[in-house]
Amino acid sequence: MPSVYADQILRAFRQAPWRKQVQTVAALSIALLIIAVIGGFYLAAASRAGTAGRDVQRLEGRKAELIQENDELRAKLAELRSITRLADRARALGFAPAQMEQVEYLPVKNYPQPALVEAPPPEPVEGPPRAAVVSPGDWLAEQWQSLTGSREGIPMPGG
Amino acid sequence: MFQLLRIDFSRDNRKYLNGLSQTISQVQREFAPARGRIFDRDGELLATNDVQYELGISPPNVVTPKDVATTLSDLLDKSVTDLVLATQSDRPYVLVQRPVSAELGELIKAKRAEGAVDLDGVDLTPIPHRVYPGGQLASQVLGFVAYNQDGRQVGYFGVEGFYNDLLAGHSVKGIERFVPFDVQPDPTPDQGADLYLTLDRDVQYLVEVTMADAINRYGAAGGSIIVINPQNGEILGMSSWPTYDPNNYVQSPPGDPENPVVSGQYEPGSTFKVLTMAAALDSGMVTPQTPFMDAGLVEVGGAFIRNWSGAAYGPVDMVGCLQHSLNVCLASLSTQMGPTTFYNYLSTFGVGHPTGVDLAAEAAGRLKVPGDPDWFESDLGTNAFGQGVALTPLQLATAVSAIANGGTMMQPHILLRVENRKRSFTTQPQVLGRPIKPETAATLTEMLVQSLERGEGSGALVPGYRIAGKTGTAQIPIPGGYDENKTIASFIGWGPVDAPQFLVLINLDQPSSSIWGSETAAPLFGDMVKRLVVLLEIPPDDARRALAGQ
Repeated sequence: MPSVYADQILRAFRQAPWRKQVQTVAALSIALLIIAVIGGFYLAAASRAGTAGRDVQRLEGRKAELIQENDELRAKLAELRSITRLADRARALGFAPAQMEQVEYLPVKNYPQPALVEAPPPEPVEGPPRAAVVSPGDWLAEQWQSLTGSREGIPMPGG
Repeated sequence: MFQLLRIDFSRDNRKYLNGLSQTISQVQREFAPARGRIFDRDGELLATNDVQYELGISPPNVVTPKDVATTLSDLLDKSVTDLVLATQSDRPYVLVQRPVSAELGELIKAKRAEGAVDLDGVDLTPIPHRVYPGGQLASQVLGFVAYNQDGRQVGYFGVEGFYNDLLAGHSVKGIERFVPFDVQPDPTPDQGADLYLTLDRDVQYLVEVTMADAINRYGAAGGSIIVINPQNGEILGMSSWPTYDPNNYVQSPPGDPENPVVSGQYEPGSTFKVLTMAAALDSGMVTPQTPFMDAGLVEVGGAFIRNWSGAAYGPVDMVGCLQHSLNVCLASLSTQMGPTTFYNYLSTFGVGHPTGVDLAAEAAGRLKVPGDPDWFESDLGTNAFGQGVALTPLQLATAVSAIANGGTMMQPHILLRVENRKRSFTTQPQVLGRPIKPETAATLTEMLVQSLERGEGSGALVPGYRIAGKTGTAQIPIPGGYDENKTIASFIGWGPVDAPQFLVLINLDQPSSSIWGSETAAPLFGDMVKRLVVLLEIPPDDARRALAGQ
């Protein structure tokens, strides 16, 4: 029976010891390959992360330097533009502050001007003035007092 | 028999090694934001930041102590012996100097880069530094920044003090990692906001130049000037003498770092009569034409009040009372009004209350009222001409600005705009009160214009512009009375009266050339306003009306 022989040969082939070893080696090789590939990817990624980290460190440092430089330049510029310095420089160049009478005002269309707020007119006064705050009688009495009594006055502020 | 290696996986050891690794590879630190800058209303920089350094030595890293010691000794004016000792210290870090200027820091860096000397172990750590490019300009308004015990920048006085929280921003805590694999971008702290002030740099400069000129011209011991816009309460300029440079406050500490315009209280004298007259007019007790017989003396609560010149002026009207600055007249008005009406008006003018200005250390002033243990009936008379009442210059300017602004008193303020992260917040003018009617304000303004044109303060007049104002010569209180020789000469005025755009108060402390406000502060006001109208682009009244009509 040829089929019986064939089965026996196949079984013997499947159960051959070298066959199992080949399978084991292949499985290990595949596992190693996978680990190597993953390791490779990991190393590549880690290397890139490290490089990126160094870049971040470098850029943070550069950023700090530029901010510092910018601040210093801004401060220097402001110092050069300070009004005391500009006024001294202008004076040295022969300029003088504009005087009121030297200024001529011209109408310029759409020139921004503060809104004109008209103050209300003074209250009209009608009729004779109201009673004096101090009557002539009081005034005479005060004069009499000032003549007759030597009184300590308090120091007075004024205009 | 012998052991080459032992790996200890105990919990304590793992913890120790972990900690050691973290100490070496990372450090927790605070990321501080840059402090916000301060600008004037037109964007001119008034306060900004640059860098200074902290200079230290890390002894374990020093290779050539001699190079380090001699180089630093030359640059820092420190003894070589001290520096050599520092390089040999057991400590990991020795602070040599803080702060070191940016120029010196750059010089040390350059020397290190040249390689001629070995400066290994010398550490330069940048530290933030506040700079005021204008030097003394607006120093009392701005205040200054110093380091607190934690090494943080803190604003003191002025805008720096009042808006410290806004300017400082918020620092964030984060971990700085040194191993490149773990490095992450630094956390971003909330930046300090930039502040735009209502100050006009040119006006501020004019104010300070005028102040310095007044000190020389009139031999004054000090003084203050404030310029505000009465229509919206914006402070355009403000200065006091003596002043200081906030860049050098450590080397030259200011005698008084506070801003006397908001913190200094004084008895205002005759400039205060404006408020008394406002109360009398607004209560309906008098009109400009109401006659008054001036006897040169009046008795109030047992005290005898005389005029400043000691003379009796006879029959005058209310304009005359202001024109001659008659103490007797004003004391009679307050007495006739009675304490309730008089003090109510003063209170609505804000006397005795802080204005709420956005500057540090504002004083409230002092107004004694009936019922207070130190109030006497005579105060009713003396308060009428500004004696026995304490105000800050800003309080007086704010109160009088109500008269300039048609009876509406605006809150004085210094902040115009806040900018942060491209967002902008603009301050809106606030009404502080309406102490008098618009009609009263107009009437009193006209009276003050007339009294100025006819009276002792004519030096304050500016050709082409109608100006309202009042002189003042206040005596200085001393224990037991008033100094007989020293005064505070002052002038308060505004213009143009039909559309007021500025109100100026000038106080001169103890002027020696003349004690009178009419001879010192008034002409100073006139000279300053002649420049001020040019800076603020205010045409003369005729030209302004003609331009407005076109």
